[in-house]
Amino acid sequence: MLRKFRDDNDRRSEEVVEIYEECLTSKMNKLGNEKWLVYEQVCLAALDCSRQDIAQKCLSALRHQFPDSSRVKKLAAMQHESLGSYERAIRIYDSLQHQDESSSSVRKRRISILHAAGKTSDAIVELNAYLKQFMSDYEAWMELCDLYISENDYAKASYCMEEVLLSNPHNHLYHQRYADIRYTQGTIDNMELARAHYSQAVALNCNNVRAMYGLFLSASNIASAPKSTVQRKRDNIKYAMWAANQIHERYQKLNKENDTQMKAVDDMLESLQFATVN
Amino acid sequence: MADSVVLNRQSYCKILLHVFKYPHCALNGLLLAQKQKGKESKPPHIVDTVPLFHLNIGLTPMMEVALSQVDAYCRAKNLVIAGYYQANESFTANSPDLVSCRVTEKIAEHFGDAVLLMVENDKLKSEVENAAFTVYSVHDGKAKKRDVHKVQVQGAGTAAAITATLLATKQHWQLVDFDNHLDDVSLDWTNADVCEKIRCAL
Repeated sequence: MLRKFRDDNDRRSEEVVEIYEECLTSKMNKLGNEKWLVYEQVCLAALDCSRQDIAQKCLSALRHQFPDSSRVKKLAAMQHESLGSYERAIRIYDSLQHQDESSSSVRKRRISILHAAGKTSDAIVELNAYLKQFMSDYEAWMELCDLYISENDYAKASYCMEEVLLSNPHNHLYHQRYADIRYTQGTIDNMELARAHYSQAVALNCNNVRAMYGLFLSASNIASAPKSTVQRKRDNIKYAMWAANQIHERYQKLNKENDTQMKAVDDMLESLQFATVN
Repeated sequence: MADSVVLNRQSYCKILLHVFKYPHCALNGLLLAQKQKGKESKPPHIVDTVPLFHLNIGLTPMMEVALSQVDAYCRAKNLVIAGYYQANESFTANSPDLVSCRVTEKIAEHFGDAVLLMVENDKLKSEVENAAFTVYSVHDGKAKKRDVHKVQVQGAGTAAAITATLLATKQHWQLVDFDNHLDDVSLDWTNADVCEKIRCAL
C-alpha cells in the first residue's frame, strides 16, 4: 500500500504516518532493501504532519546507513524547513547545489522556501531562472502558473499553461485549466479561446464535468454578448444547449433521492439559458 | 451594518473538517444563514456552510457554477448566502487576498451584512475556539477588518469537542467539497451524512 502511494505520488501523509505507527515500527527489518525507501517516505510524511519525533527517527536511521548521501541531506534540510529555520535549510541546499549544479530538486526546494515564506514574487523570479535551464520540467511550469494565478497575473499564467499544453496536447485537464484561466481573463476573445479549449477537453474526455460546465458558461457568455453577430449567437446558443443537456443527463443518470441538488442544477441551467435567449 | 457574526456548531465543525482534509491547500467555502423576512437579523447567524474548492481557488468559472447552484439550493431551503470563508495555503498567511475580497463584495451585493471569514492557520492548534478566525465585513464595497472577538460560536466548548471526535473518527475524509463533486457528481456537497454525524454527536 505504501508502495502504491509512493508510485502514484499521492500526498496522503496522514495515512502513511498512521500505517507506519500501527504496523511498521516493529517490522521495519523484514522489508529488506525496500526499508530505506519506506523510511524516506515516512520521513517526508511525518514532516508534512509535523510529527517531528517520527521524522527524526527515520532520518537517523537513514543517516546511519547513508552518511554521505545528498538525498538524506536534503531530507535533513526539509526537517529544518518544517521547523521554520529556513536559513539553515538554505545553507544545506547551497552546499548541495555546489556539489551538483544540475540537481533540479534542490533548486526547487529553494523556490518552495521562498513560496512558504510568503515571498511569492521572489519565488516567481527564481522559478523563471530555473525554467530557463530546465525548460522541459512541466511540473515547474504548472507551479509557475499557479504562482501567477495567486498573484492575479492571468496573462502570464496562461502563457505558462500554453507551455504545458504543448508538452502534452492530449491531456484534457491541461485544456480545461487553460480554458479556466482564459475565462477568468474575461474579454470576448478570451471567451472564444476558453470555449474552444473546453470543447477540446470534452472531446478528449467526455466525463470531465468541469469542462462541460465551462463550455456551457463560455458559450452562454458569448451568445449574450451584445457585440456578437446573429450567426455567432445562434451557434453559441446551440453549444450551450448541448452542454446543458449533457450536464442534465449526467445528473439524471444518478437518479438519486437528492432532489434539491438536481433542482439546483436545473435552476442554474435554466436561468442562464433565459439570459442568453433574451 | 452588523458588527459581529454567530456561527452554529455545525458550520464551525464543517469549516474545520474542510481545513483538516486539505491541510496543504488553499481552500474556500460559503456561509449560509437563515433567510429573514423584512429586516435582516443582527448579527448574521450562520447555520450551515458549503465547502467549495481546494484545487485552485483563483479561477472564476467553477466559482460561478458553485455560486449559482448554492444560490438555487438556498432558495429551495429558505436560506441565503451570507458570507465566505477562506484558508490560505501558507501557514503564516492569514490576510485576505484579492479573490476573497471580490467574492465577498459580490455576495454583499445580495446580502448587505456579508462577512468574510479568514481561517488563521497558525492559531488552529490551540484550544481557543474563537481566535482561529478573523472576520472582515464589507463597507462601501470594500472588505474591512473587524474585531476578532466578535465571532461567536454557539456552544463553543462542545463545538470544539465534537470537531475533535469527528477528526478522531476520520470524518474529515468523508467531507465533500465542490471540487470533489465536480470530480464525481454523485458526491453530495451538502454533506448530509457529515451533518447527521455532527447532530448525533451533539
